[in-house]
Amino acid sequence: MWATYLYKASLWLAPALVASFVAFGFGFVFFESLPFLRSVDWSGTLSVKWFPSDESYGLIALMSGTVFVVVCALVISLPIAFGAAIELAFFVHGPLRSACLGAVGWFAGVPAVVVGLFGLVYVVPALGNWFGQGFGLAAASIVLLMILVPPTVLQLTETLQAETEGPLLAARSLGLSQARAVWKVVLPAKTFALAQSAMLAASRGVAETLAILMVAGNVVNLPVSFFESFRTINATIALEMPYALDVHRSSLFFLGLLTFVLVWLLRWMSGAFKKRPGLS
Amino acid sequence: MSLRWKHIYCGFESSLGRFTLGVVMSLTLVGISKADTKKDRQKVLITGSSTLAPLMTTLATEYEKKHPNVQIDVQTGGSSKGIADCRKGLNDVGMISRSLKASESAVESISVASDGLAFIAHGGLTVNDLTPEQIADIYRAKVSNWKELGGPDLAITPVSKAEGRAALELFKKYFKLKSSEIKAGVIVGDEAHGVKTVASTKGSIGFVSVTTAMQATSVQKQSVVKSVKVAGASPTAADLRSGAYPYSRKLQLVKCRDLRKAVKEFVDFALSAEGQKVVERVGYIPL
Amino acid sequence: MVAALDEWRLQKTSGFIMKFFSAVALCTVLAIFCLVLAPLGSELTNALKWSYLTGVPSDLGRTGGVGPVVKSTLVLLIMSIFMTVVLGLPVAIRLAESTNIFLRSMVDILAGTPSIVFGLLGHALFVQFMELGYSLLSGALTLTCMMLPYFVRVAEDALREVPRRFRLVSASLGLSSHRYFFRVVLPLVKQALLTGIILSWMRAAAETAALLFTAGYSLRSIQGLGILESGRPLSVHIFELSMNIANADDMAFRGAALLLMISFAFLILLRLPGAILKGKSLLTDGLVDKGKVPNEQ
Repeated sequence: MWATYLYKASLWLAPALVASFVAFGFGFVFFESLPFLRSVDWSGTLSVKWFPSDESYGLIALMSGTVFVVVCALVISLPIAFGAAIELAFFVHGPLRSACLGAVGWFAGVPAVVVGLFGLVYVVPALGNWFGQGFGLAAASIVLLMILVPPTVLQLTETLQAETEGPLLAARSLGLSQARAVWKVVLPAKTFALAQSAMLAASRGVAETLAILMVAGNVVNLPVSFFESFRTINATIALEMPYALDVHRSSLFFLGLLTFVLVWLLRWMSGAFKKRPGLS
Repeated sequence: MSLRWKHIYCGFESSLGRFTLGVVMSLTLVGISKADTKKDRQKVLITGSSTLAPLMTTLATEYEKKHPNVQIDVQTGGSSKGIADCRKGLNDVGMISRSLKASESAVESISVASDGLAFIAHGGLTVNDLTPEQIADIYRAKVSNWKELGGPDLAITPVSKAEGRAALELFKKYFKLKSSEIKAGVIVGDEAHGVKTVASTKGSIGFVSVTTAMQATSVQKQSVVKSVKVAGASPTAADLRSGAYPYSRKLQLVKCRDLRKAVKEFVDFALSAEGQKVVERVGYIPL
Repeated sequence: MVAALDEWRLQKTSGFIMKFFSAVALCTVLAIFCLVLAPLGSELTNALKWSYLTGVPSDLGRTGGVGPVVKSTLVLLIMSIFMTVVLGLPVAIRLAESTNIFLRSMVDILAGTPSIVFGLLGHALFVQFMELGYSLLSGALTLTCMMLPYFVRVAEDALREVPRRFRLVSASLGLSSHRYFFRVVLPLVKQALLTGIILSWMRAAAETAALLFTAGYSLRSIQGLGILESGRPLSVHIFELSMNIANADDMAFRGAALLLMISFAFLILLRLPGAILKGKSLLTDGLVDKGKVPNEQ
């Protein structure tokens, strides 16, 4: 029937469209960064100086900016996200749980711009009062925490509850308390899910541009202190792209390429955690 | 089989539901795309500087009220994009907030509003007046504490703008600094970003357009930012016009070819007395 | 005997520590967000006034309403969700049926691409190359690409839950594949698909950078609904008010409150049929409750 043909056609058409968009995307970014790749002095890229108007394209500061902020954000947000997810999955029940889940789900919809604005108007001055300068890794990590935690909690709560009923019931019936059962029986089997969650959060962190831009300070520096301005790759692209010409513009596309590489790296790392699915 | 509500809600399960859903969606999409495409509508596309964009948007709205068959779209992207698009024929006029470079000769500029470079500082700062040399030294990090300038014992945080921004180019030109010499504490992007950054950091000083500075310091509750006089002259419309405040620039439109009638009429409106009244009303400085 | 008591105490203590830690984590999450929402909360009532929702912005957006912005946002919403589902379902089916590393990597790359790169890509592909110009259609297409991985992930998980034997049984009964999908699979995964839609919308609703270069910045008093028209989405409006226009903070927060309310309304709306017809909950999705995990007593 024509309906089946339509269905079967869409089954390869849609993936083809998606794949071609990604291929186009990658090709476009690569193509646009060619002028930079052709003319760059590679020894110069290993420095901290990013002054495109003076032909100096040091990448170290930018890359470390992105990496550091994601790592710091993960260090503070993963424990909170995991804790909250465990609490919601196994310890809270009834209407309280529905309310909490609804609230967290709603929080996940707060725009990054608003979180960044909140950071700029409240967090930065507060940090400035206590520690000297507000802009920097600390503020950016806090802002990133607020962006990463809700979706991670939501997704993790759901993942933790998948296929858990059986083992959990068994453990409880053997006399373990809920906490003990969760800690000893459920969680060890879910390490893959936890790792995957962490990797998802990391990719989201790498992809975030605007909110970090507002509170990071954006000076091209090695982020050695929590309260010194720094800059991420995405912020550089966002700030400089509208005004960049020729080689400078091309170098920004190269930065985009670097982000692709980072994401691939994260994917590959999450694959290393993989076990055979299903509880042992 | 008669159509019931459940066929729509649980649509996909029944073929009648799917059919109805498909029809509804197609009609909606067609309706949406057909809506409002008047055949004789003239379209004008203006791209460029984000500093000038709010003003042009307002002018466009005012103009459209009187000329309903003209549709003016304003897009941002930066001064350089305004010029590049103009050259490639991708827009009707461009907006720029810096002066044309020598390499950009095939382009003609039309001034729309006056503006300049203003310095703002955190509201709590007691220093009100600085000399150009002092400002240059602050940004070179030769002076790093306000007490060296007669102020409190507070570290100075210079706020600068991202590479390529028109305001930065203006700053470098007037104060004779190179990019590598500027040691900023924080770098910002758009105008209000700068204002908020200065407002939230004690001891900070930054530069924005005169228009923004005027707007930011005019409302009482926003008095966490104040404008800084340079050699006695304040960044106000009066001082700019008299020349007492020297750091001026014009906000301009650029054209690369003869304008179509609709576009020309809009530009004429922007430059007319009525248009300039609009300019003043929204807080910009008329010519 | 004493050893058993010690063991019990150890269990009790470690159990208590764990519960305490998790509870603290949850409370921290909730507290942080109440903090963030506080400035928005004061603007909430203002955001819901009819004059604000349908009015026209004036004085650069510092006064007036956001009517045209809301229109653009809703059109973008409808279009991008439609396209996400239509494109995402086949992709999810493909991924659920066979391990297709290539396709999976493609989807993951989409998930990890920064918004600014999407903006540049969307601009190059839809605005310039396909000559759609700055339009809601370009914006919707770009949004679809951003939303796709989130929807596909959820949809794929849900599709995997469907037991394989259903496929065999339906084939043996003579059902063609498309019949099988629409009549057997879809009713089972509907709830999950709704979750996927909501999740992917959350990602896209707040998207600013990508939309600025595709759907555009243009703000007109009479915003048509034409999809080839440029229109300013709410997220771009919030960005403009907070980053480019001085003294517009309260309006920026008001816009953000409105965006949150739109998301909330959308959430409730999608769950409404389920809640009314089948008694499912309005706030949470059924998936999370389905574990029926035993509780404390």
